[in-house]
Amino acid sequence: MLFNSLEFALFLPLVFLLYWFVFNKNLMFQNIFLLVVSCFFYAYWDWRFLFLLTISIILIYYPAKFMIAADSSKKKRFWLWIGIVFSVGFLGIFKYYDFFVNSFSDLLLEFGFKANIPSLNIILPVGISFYTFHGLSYIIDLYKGKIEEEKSFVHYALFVSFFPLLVAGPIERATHLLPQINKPRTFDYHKAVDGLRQILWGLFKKIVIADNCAVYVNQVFDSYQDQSGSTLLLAAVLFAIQIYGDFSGYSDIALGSARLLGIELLRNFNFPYFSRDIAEFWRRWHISLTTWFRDYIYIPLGGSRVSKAKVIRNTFIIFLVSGFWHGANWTFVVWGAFHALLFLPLIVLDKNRKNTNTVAEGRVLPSVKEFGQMVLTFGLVVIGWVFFRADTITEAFDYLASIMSLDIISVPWLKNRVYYIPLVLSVFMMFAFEWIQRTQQFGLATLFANNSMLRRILYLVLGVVIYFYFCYHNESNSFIYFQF
Amino acid sequence: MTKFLRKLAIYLLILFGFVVLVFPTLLLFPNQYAKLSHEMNMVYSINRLKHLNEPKMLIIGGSGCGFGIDSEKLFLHYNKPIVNTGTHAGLGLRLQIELFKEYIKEGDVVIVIPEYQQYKDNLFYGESTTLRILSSTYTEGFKFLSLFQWIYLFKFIPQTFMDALISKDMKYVENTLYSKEALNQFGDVTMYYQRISKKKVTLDEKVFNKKVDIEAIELLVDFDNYVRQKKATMILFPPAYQASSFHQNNQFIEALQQQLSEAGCPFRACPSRYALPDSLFFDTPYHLSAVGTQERTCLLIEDIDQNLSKK
Repeated sequence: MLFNSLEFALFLPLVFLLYWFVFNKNLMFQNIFLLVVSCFFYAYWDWRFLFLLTISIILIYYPAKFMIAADSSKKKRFWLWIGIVFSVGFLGIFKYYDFFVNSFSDLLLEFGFKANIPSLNIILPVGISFYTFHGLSYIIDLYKGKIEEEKSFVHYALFVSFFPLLVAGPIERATHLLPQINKPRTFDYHKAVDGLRQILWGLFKKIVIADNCAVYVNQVFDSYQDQSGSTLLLAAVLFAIQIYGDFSGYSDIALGSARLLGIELLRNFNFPYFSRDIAEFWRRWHISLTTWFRDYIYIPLGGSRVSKAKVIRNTFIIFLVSGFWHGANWTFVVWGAFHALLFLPLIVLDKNRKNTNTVAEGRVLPSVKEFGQMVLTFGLVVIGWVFFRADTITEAFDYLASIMSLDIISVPWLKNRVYYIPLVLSVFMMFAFEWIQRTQQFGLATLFANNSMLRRILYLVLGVVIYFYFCYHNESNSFIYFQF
Repeated sequence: MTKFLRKLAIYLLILFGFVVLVFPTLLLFPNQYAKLSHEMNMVYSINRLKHLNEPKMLIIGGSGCGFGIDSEKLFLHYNKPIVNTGTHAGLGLRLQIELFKEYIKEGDVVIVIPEYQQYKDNLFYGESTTLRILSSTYTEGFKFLSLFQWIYLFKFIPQTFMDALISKDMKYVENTLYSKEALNQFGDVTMYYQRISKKKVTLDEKVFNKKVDIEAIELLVDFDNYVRQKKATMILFPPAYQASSFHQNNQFIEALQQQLSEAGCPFRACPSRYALPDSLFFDTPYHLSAVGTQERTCLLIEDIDQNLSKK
């Protein structure tokens, strides 16, 4: 079920009440309850997915067990690689088999050979990339001695399948989440309120911002050949806003939901569009994924402690793998490569760790330079998003080339302009609030903390607007990252 | 925990109260499209019916009736006033029946031709179209909505409001194929007869993957009884439907036909008889071209004659 659905609006309160009132007496019962509802949550998509989730859990849990029981480091390494290979292979089959088959067939066709390799045509299970990575973090950290073996299968299964992060992250670490699962939780009023606040903000970004941007973006991208440069540019910018609203909104709902249950998840977004360079962008966007790649691929490859050439190589590997993780399409790989190219000058000039503080720290507004840097970074990111959104690489290049036409200096196509006024106001509000709160965890965290009346009015207005657009869109716009 | 639940409950109550009080006021915003388009046919039909005292032929259905029946042909054949109320399936079958019930008198022939989607869900209970047409052209019609319909339609208020905002720029509908000027004195939309549509007729692809709504059948049975009590005649027909869409949704249509028969309110003609070639359609699976309209009207006359002679 989607977070922005009526079903979830009924599911979450019910889980909350049962969790704190019925199952709170015993930690194991509480965790079993969470595991059961998480399985229900996942099965709601398609009950067959539950088998895949179970297999994914088993593919790591038992090799990890054997790894711990092994009496030599060689055997430990063997079981580690069994767990990794089988899990990644499992992910690969479901996510990439058809892609590789079709790509290979296309390549052969280029050389005049017609290959009839059967494809599997299997549906991509929702969230498979996320929960596979949960499991991988466990077995790798276990191997490195960062955590103790999780003896309880229930606790491990819950770690992998905890419903707030099951389908779209954040990608949790065993070192962060397992200890919380193993510890009794007590209800904290302020944390619960904060959780609700974050859910409200997430719903605003998803339903009001992302879903409304999607209306325009879809229309333009579906007929990009007939649109002016200014229209294409506007749609690209709106897609950047859409994907941010969509993904960060979803993460906010996930974090807020978990906080209601007394569990803290890893932060996934840190206001990425306020970044002053690409390196900073990648420290703020999908943080759980970038840190995962850093810790489990980049650093084992040598990280930044090797020669500059190898650092560049490692960076390219990370971005290409990251692109590939996002989807079985060459557009994602090109998107990753594009960001790697943007990163390259920063590495060469040793400026990739230049902007590590908060922009305009201690000031209300950014300086002209900072503003320019943010706009430039945003512009570069928008270019990358075109590859992300396009169906093919050719389409992406066509799209970008079409932006660079004389009619870029023209009024963009806007059918029913009045429809977009609330959207513009909402986007402005989102960026304004997040700017004000850029040192906080999310856009509503401490906003108007000193004025409770204003705060309550804001929550009411947000609630009304969210409900208005929820009804208006009616059909849930599915979350972009679901099939990842 | 108690404090948390209490504060949350208060917030949700205030939110709910605000929404319930404020949202209906959004319907005050008029929709220009409804006032300028063929959707005015609903209020035109009501006005005609108010002044008709003699026995008449009343056609109740979706826009498939408005865009697919030559009422003048019926008039010449039956020598009765014809009122074609076919406006928009989105009004909902339930409301359409309720709106025109009071105008049925002795000797009337009531031809009911709902579109297949009107036997369930939104097109049975209504949707934003209902709110749009009622709020912009006939506010008295709101009294015919049941409490359940009010609750059901509530979620369409935002869409109705947004459509109204957008419609401010809809002057282009004037004197076009879908404008109120396109209506003739019977309620048929005729202006498009001389035109070829630029739109490709979309296929209704397996829209009917749900069961027939029992309430729709009960409504028709009750209406049939009501019409009999008024000493009038009701005849239920299947709609004229694009053949390829018909084949896609054959299962549903067969189930519907069977359930109507079992309920004692059957189709008075076989649905497949009205599954017409795709080439006879104009812009939707229910809107017929000029040629299609003539062919369908001939079928209708044959079937009405057959049914009336049985009675």
